[in-house]
Amino acid sequence: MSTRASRKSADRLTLLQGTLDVLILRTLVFGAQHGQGIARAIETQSSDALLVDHGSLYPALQRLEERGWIAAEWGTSDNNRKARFYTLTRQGRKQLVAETGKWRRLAAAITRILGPEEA
Amino acid sequence: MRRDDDFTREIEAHIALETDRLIAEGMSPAAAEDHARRRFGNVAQARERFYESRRVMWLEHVRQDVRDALRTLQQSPGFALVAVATLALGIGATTMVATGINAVFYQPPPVGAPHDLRTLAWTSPRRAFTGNLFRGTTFDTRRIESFPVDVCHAVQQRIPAWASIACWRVATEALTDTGLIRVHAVSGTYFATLGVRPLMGRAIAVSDDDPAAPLVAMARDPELLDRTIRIHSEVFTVVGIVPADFSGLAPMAPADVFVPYAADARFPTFQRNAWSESNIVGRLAPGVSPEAVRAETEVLVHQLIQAAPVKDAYDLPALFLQELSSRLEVVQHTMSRPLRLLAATVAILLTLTCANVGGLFFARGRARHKELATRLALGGPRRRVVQQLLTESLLLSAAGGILGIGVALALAPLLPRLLSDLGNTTALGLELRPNLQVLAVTALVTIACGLLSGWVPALSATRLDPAHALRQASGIVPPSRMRAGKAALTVQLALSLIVLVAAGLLARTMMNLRAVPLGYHPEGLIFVETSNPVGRPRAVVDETLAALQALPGVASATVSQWPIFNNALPRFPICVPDVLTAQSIDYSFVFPGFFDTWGVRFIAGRDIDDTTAPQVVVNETFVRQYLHGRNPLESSISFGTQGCPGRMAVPVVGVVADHIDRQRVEVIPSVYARYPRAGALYVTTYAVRAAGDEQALMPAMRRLIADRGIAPNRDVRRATEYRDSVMRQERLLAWLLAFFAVVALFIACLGIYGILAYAVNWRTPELGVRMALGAEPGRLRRMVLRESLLPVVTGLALGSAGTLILGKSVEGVLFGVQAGDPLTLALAAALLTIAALLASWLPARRATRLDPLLALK
Repeated sequence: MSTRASRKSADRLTLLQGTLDVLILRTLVFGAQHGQGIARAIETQSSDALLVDHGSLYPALQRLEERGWIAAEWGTSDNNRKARFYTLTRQGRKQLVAETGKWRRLAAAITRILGPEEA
Repeated sequence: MRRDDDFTREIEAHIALETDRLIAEGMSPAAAEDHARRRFGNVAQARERFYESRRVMWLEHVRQDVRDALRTLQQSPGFALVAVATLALGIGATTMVATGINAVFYQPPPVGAPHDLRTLAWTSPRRAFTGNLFRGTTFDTRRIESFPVDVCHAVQQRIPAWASIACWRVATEALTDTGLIRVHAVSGTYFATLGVRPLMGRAIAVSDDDPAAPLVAMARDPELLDRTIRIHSEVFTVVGIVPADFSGLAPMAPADVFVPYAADARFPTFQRNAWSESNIVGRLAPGVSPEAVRAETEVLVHQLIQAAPVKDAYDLPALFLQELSSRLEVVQHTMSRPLRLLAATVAILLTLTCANVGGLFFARGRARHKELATRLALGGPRRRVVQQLLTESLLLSAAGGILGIGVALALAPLLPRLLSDLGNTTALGLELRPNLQVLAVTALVTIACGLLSGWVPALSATRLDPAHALRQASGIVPPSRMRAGKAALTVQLALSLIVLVAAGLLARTMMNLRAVPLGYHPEGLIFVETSNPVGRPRAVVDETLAALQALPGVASATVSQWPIFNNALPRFPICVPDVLTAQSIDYSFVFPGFFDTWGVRFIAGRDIDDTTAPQVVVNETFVRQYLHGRNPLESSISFGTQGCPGRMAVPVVGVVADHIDRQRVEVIPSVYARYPRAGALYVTTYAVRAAGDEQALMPAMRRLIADRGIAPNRDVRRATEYRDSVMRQERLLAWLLAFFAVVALFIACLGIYGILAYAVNWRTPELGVRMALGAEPGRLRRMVLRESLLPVVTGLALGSAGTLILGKSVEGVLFGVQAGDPLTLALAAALLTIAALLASWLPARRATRLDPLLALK
């Protein structure tokens, strides 16, 4: 079975508000992707540490689309299913750079405050 | 905008893809789909959140917010009532003043297509003059708007670029039993040119221009239709009623009655003085250039003057076409001071209103903190909560705005009196009802006030830590929120102080004005100023005087050129006895007995007698300024138009006490001579002292004057009314300000009380701890009172600074008191401080009456 079996869902982290957006943008750097693919990609890339709430994924996509950071088009998936594919716009790319920097700084700051990992 | 079925399809696609993946990982198809759906969560909820992101939701929220706000307000009717009443007052007063400003500055006269209408005016370098037309205002009248009537006719007939031309003039004034009516004479083309339709009956038409046509008139008063009115000795049949807001084209001399132009020559006041015969108003033909029309008309006027030189025309005049609105210049000039003052008052009042309502929101905040905290804790977005609080304040101000329009309508009749700078009560020919533009201003003010009064309290009320707010036992007030409340309180107090000081200054002005002795007895005296045509037989004057003396209820009657007060008219150079005086000397011709009737005291000598001997009476100021310690009764004066010593040395036979007509003028040196024994002066004033009620004599006096065909310059007036009229503006302003000051004071107290009660409530547990630990009640009380002291002191300091700025705008109205008067300021500040301390007392007392056990729970 997959890694899912090895982790109890209680261990998995729910995404902090606001983090989903930047992760979506990041995922799209590698090319067009549909919603399910994005969710899957986030989960795999975090080694299944993050759990994407599929229910809030789509409103988030909608929000990003309205802001002009991503664009969407209906297409066909690898296994021949109709799906709505999202791509990163130029504005979205800029936003990603800005957000990434912000998150790095925040994470570093929090880490400094929390101190070295305790046993 | 993305459609929702597209969204649904996307969700279905997601579930299909996820199912595929799970099957690939080895799940059974049924279990896989089940899992995918579960993993997605509530599809309906996702769709709902999708809807929410769309604008439709916004409306839905507004509806919900309004519903919630109404419910919340229902729960605290006292709060809603005070807030709405405050707003209604503030917005109502603003609307009223906006109505005045709009009427005076922006409203076109009530005529059809006013932009095509032009009035003609001219200037000539040698006719340029600056006249003192209205009491207290020097108005530049370089442009003259009257022409010979022949010019009007010629323009009408010869220049086709004018679609039509009308001649009109302010013809005469006549007394009826109830008062004065002013008559405009208009040509038959007048109403058609202006595009004014009669409300009832017919308009004056071209057929009425025939001098042989029956005498007809139009009136403003609908009661008069089909009746006859007598103007001097002519009887007119009222055939039409003009719209109530149309009073002709002379805003400072609005018409009550219109008569055909041909009838003017029948009035005794008619004077064939070429250049004052007719005003000209015309409507431009469509598509013509006003400048071309002006040039063409000017050429015609020059031709007319050169063909038949008109008396009094010095040079060829330059012609102007004026838009109708610029005719309001005179009104604007006269009204701008009171309007500015009112606008300043209202601006302060409106800010105060918003601050007050904002303060009320703060005060109420405590009761709602738990509710708001709960909402925030349950995940209500802060924006939505702010939105809901704003909905409440907007609802309140909307209610206040609607009531405010009612208040404005109720106050509207006050406006002409507030604005009236003239000594009479004649209605200004202006429409003083709020119109669409004014209502738009009201709406804007309402919304702005709602946002202003709701915004800051809403933001600060939602800037709380839900957990903190929910935990009642934690008793420390977040300082930021108290700061905002205290800032509002500071503004409230500062504005209250300004209003209070202004009211105080005006009250003291009133007292000072009343205390000034006038030097004559206005009580029981009525008088009327009239005009006599040149060459009028002297008999009319004597007969009228005799008839007045014979009226039942008359103690005495007299005749003079001017009323006792005369300070706006030409003065003669006089030699005293052989030095030419400055020219500021009042000069009037009077009958023997004049001083007795007007109630002026003699200081020395005697009254003018009925002999032919030359004799004059002077006033105290004359003696002081010109006689330099000589015995006045051994002095004489002469008329020095040709240098001193002048013609006719006239001995001074008496000295009368100084007298003034109203409180704000300086006494002018005055000389009184015998009214000519032959002939009648052009201006003649009749005065009557009543034995009893002078008001009862007024109709009889009006009838008596009208019956003799004497043209009045003004209505018959009571001297007391005249005296009071010059103080009317001050009095009304003082009342308005006093009223607003009381409202401001009351609401400021509510604000102080609310904010302190709020603070004490927040600190209940803390105070409980202090008491449990043995703090004295007195000290606690003082501590709470100290809380209120800072905003009070800051507010008063700011307000004092504000009064200095205010001082500039009220300085012109004040009398005998300076704008920065320390006593008034100190009294107002003391009053506010006492009120503030009283308002703090209740919460402070409650703080120390706490049962420590209960407080800690």
